[in-house]
Amino acid sequence: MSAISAYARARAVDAGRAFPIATRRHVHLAERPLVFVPLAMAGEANAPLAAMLGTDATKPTLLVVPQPRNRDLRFAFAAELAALVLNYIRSCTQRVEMSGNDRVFSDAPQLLVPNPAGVGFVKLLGRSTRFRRTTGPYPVPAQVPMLGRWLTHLAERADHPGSSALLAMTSALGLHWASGQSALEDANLAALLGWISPPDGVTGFAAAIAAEDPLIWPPAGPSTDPTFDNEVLAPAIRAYDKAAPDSPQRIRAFARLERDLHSQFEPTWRLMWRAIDTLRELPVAAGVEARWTSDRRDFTNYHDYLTSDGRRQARHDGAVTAARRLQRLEREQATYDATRALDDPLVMANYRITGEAFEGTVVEVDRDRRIVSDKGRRVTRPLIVVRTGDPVDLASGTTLQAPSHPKQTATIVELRRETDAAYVTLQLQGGMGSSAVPPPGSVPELDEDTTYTSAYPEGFRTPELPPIDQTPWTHGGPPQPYVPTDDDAQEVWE
Amino acid sequence: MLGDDDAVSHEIVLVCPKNFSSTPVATKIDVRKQLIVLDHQLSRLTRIDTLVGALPPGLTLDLSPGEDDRPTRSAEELVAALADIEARYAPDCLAKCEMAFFCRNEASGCTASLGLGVREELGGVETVAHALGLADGSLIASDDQAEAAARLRTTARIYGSVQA
Repeated sequence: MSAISAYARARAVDAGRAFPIATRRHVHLAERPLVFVPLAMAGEANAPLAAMLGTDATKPTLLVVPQPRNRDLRFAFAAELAALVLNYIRSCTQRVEMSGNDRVFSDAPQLLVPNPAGVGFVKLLGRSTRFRRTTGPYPVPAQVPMLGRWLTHLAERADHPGSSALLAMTSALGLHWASGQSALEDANLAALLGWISPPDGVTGFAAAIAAEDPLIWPPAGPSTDPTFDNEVLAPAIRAYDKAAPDSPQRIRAFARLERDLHSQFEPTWRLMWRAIDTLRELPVAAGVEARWTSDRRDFTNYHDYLTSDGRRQARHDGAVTAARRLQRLEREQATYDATRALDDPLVMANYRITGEAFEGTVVEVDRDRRIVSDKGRRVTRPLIVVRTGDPVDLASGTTLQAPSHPKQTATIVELRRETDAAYVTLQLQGGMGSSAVPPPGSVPELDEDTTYTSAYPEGFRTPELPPIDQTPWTHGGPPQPYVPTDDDAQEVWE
Repeated sequence: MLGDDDAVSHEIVLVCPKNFSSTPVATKIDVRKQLIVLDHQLSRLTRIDTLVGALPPGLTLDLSPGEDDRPTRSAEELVAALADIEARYAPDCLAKCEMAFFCRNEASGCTASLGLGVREELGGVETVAHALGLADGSLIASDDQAEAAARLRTTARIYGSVQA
């Protein structure tokens, strides 16, 4: 919990509405996102009960498993879901563009689920479908294991900081607004939206309390309301079970189940699209484009991998894969945090409070200063002095960067504190061309307001990992290549 | 009983469904380590008689059911009795305790109801109004709150300057 969001939460309690903690939108929203609201049956690990999905707010598709305990029905649901999801993924592969030397799809699939538990559902559904066999005992349609691979891929992608391939709506909203309730209660989409945009004449507090009534706002899944389970769902499933196959009673029971479940989905479905509209109102941050390109590149690579090799993801990561993945996640997290701060002054404010960044006015400029470098050459190194009221907590010699001059680094030469302000002397390097006199605009002017931060994307170094064939014994030595065996599919059906 | 070697063995049988199937799988687990931890935690807990002893004398939550088994005491009386018991509400309570909504209502306006992390960030101040008062300088901080108040004022100043 950062200082800014804690303070914004306190303000939200006081004012009865959510307060912004970002001035830009830091997530990508695709033109046609696939909104996916899953429901699971209580009492069994990841037993899908129903799902509502679609790329159009007015045309959702409802899929229902009339008896979630029945494996045949469960995988028939998976097949129907696969047809829709794979069709959506295919629609993202229509146009190709070049990014650097690589061929990259212009679109990538974006799956939006209501809450973090929905991401967990996607992960488990991928896990339960990707190992199923299409031949032999209990075969499933070919698209089911394919769906499993894609869902696993998306769920894995969701772990990457800054990825927008699979987003939980409450997390996306929570990145931009602080409500007057705890983070735990923010996981309720209806309550969170109640704080962000309460109905006219209602405080966010009252709207959030109203949102906790499961009769008006059923839970956004995957778990359902226990009262609904007992009083509506259980009798409806029982009625379906008791009726003979293909009898009019069974058709009626199925229609009733569909109607009941539709009523559970409908409010959440509207909320999801309202949340998308709310997020779209924010101007997009500069770094989003690059992060989405990395999502698209990852999508393209995986798509190519599936058409060439197409082995499913292993059950467990090997030691080497895990170590590389962890290192990549750490690097991405650091870059993501720093980029967000450079893009958005309200995110930068967090660093200013902790003293890792400061904002101030340039009070002295020595722009034509030239010194002799270590190599004996004369180089241009302007000096500036910035006066700031922020609590600077940086040591001399630290390298900084200004959001306004992304190609330039600044090194702290001296830090002088007075009673109500600090004076920071900075030596600038880079971003000034090769001529002896820096071109206009490349050095901050006198009286200019400027921000400098010690957390910037290029400021992180990660250690080099050894090549795969020289993996040390700590990680089990050079790994054996993964060969899929029939064991993977030996999962009991019933 | 568990862990008392003469009564129950410290080897337990854990039964779980395998993968996504309905096939139960049982394995034996030695829980001695968990038992030691549990013992340690239980021995550190305040005994219930100490807790009860700290309650105001004469406090009762008795419903005093009448002949038809319906409570004869009014809801207001019970609520008043409950309010006498000091509660330490935290958002985690919502997942664990049936009284959570009552306590949450009681704790509204407290920094703790926003989560322990938020409370820490706001300098450990009891109420939201107090924290905001320190932040805008309308309240004078006591000596032990001076540092937290200075930080809150910085936060408020920076937040205000950026958001405006």
